[in-house]
Amino acid sequence: MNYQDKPQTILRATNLSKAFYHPAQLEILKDISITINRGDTVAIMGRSGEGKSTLLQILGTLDTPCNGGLEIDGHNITQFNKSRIRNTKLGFVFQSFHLLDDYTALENVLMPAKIARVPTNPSSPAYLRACGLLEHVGLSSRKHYNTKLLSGGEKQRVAIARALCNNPDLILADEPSGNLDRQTSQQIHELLLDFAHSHNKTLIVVTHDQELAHLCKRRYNLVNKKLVEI
Amino acid sequence: MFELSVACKYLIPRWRQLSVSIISLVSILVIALVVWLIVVFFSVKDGLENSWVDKIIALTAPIRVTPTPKYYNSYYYLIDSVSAQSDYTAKSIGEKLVSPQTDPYNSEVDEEFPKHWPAPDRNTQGELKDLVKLVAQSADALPGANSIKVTDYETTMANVRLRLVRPSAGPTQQSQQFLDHATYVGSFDTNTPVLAKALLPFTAADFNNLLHMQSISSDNILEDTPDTINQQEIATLHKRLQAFFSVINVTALKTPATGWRLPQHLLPANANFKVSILTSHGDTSRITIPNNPNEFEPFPQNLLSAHEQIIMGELNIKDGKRFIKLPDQEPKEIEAWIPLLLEDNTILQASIDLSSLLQANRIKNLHFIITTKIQGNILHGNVPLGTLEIAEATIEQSKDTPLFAHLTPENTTIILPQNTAEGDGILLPRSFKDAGALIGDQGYLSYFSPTPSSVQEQRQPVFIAGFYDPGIMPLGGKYILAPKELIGMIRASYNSNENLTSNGLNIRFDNYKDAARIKSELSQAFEQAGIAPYWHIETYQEYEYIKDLIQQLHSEKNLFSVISLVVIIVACSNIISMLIILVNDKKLEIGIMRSMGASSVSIATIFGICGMVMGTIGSLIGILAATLTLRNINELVSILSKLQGYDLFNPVFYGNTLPSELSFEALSFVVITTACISLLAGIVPAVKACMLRPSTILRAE
Repeated sequence: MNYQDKPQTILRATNLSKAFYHPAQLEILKDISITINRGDTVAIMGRSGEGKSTLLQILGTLDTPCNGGLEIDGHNITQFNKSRIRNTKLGFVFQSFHLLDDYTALENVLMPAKIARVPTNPSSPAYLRACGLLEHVGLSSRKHYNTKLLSGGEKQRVAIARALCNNPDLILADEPSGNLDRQTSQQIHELLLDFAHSHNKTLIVVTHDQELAHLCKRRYNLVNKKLVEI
Repeated sequence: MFELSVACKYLIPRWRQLSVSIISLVSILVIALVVWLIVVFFSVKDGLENSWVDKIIALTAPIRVTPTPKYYNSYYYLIDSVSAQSDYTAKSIGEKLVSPQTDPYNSEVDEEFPKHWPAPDRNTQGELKDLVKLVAQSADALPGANSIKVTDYETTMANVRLRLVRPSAGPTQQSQQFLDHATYVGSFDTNTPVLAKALLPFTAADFNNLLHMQSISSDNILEDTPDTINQQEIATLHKRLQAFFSVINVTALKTPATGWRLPQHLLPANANFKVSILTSHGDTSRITIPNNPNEFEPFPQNLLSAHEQIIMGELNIKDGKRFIKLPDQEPKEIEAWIPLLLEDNTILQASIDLSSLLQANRIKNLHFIITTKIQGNILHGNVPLGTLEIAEATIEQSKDTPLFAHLTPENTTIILPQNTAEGDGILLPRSFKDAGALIGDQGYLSYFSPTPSSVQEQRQPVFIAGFYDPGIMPLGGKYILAPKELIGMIRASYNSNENLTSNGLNIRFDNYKDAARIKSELSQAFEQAGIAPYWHIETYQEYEYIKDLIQQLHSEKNLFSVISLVVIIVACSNIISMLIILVNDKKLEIGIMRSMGASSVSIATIFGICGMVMGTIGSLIGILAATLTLRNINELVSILSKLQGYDLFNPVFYGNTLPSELSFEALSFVVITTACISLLAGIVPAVKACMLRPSTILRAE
């Protein structure tokens, strides 16, 4: 099945609510509904502490909403299929990169494939794809470097390559350039959007960066627990 | 496999995680220590148990078949007593086994047998069943019968009286003492290879006694208390000495407790010795050459007379002349008559001068060629045995000898000398050796035989052909082994009193652990042959005198297994704390991997594998250490014994050497238990790891 045959809607969230109960009850999100189509690039903005990252984690199945439902690529998210959906359908890019320290750049990129239990030996398709991704992000010469030796921008590029390793339909990025200088940030933004456009991937990005937001097709603002399309 | 690759990464020690690495190392070492202890303990215990059972079986068999009262009341058993062909004598089981005739009764010649006797038990062809031979045939027909051997045994009671002739300081230079003991006497079966393991090796005292006994005649040995110790005739002595030295190769002699006067001709023309000099009124009266001058302890000064003194000095021999050099004095020549002694217990490398075997009229006149080194000086020459004693000797295994019990060259059977001039050879338990008996000692077995008018004491001459280690068998101290013919003779005199004797068949096979299976197969075979009511089958575990012991050994094993399990649990509990620290350390990585789709089960598996690998590594180190320890167990035990000042394991119970084979049972118990418990120990932290919510971790970081 190629992507033209897949359902047009990649993500549908219905009446999502989230509250924290410790130390005191704090409602962060309330009745948020959003439908995102395949190939969309979506920016979610808002002030700090409004719950943007929490919303992204709920959309990425890393967190569980108090109420509401979530459907990704036609699959209702349950406790039992979360891991598989995360492994096959989603790719995450974090502000703090979150690379595995004791591994090389290539090993980091190959990790989702290992989790999916596909062969990762040097002649395997997954290995060749990982090398291709690292080449695409301009790090083929550093693929055997330990990630501790890479700069912030390089780390984030490895993280982007890793997010794409299992060819997911949906990339979720949480402040991908939050820890980077302006020039590097621009390179990361271009990389993410290029990937999304060239491979018809859906990108949901949480950002404070107006420039990045303006490059996205749809923009939302999280205000008073509600998502408002701009 | 993803989980395995991540677990391996976590298990490699890193400087950044020093605390985790140290705790891991300690956990592994504790497990290794526990595994080492358990494997060594169980291997030694298993080995000891096996050797105890081996020794028990060496005297009996894994299975014994004994006649029931129905056998003794059967026509088959009773008929011999009324048959001329059987000399009107009931036959023993051994005799029945080799008897060509099953039914010796001839109605034309023999008297009619009593009406109340049971009817003959006949087979379907109408022939009398040969109850003894059918046992052997049933055993031969069992599966794996090649290794099954059926032999008859007889046990009886007798009194053993041994005459211990020992050198003494008296005018005859010999004294005699007597050792009396009421014992069980069992028939010696040559086909008991296991007994070879239980035979005690010769000691120097045995060699000396055996040599000494070659000159003692056993003419008056059957007397209550022989007045004299008769010497052998010269011609007999020469023959016996030749027989002795044809199988025993003396390699070293030692000086007696009083020291040994060194013959002049042994000394080299030029030599230097550190010596202890006894002076009397300032003149040298005796010189002693210590074996090791650094460890020499001279005679205590306070025990000497007022005019005597002991001084350490040097003896210089130049061109045959002797010079004494005392500290701070010039060398002074001494006269040749001043005694020069070798310290007591000095070992002299020596070999027999074969030409003296036919010239010596006494043992003391045997000549030895000495070539030995004392304080770097070579002493060489031919000397009479005199007061010297045999220190070391070897036995020519390939030669047959009537002097002592020995293995055949193939090491499969033991030959017990029989019908020699001194009587029959007997094997005694270790307790006799502890009481002072030595190989070669002569004596007799006494028993009482009824005659028409009275009960008379009968005596059969015997000599000690060897000692065996009975292990911990309760009867061991009073169970001697003698040739079957001798037992048959004694047993025949007790015929009317069966409580004092027993007779049956030993069933031997390679692995005594098959006893229960073979017993059940034998029972079925007896049922089919129709002889089951005549025989009682017992495995070694059911023998009345060792049943309690075997049960106790099993109970101990079960108890120690439970203790070991608890110790392993305690050792593996370290893994829990180490893994909990590791989980906290790797929290972020867990969150990252969860975000990439790793399931909670995968995360739990990673930490479970870590626990199991640590347990397995600890086990392997422990097993390796245990193997090395077991290889050197006897050296280790001797060091520990020296440290505590007495034997760590009493040889009476544990034998001269401890078993050193790794017990497969212990090994599998430890490996499986440690792997399972360490996996279980890994579950607690693994559950903690998989309960972590990725959103919480990633948000916190």
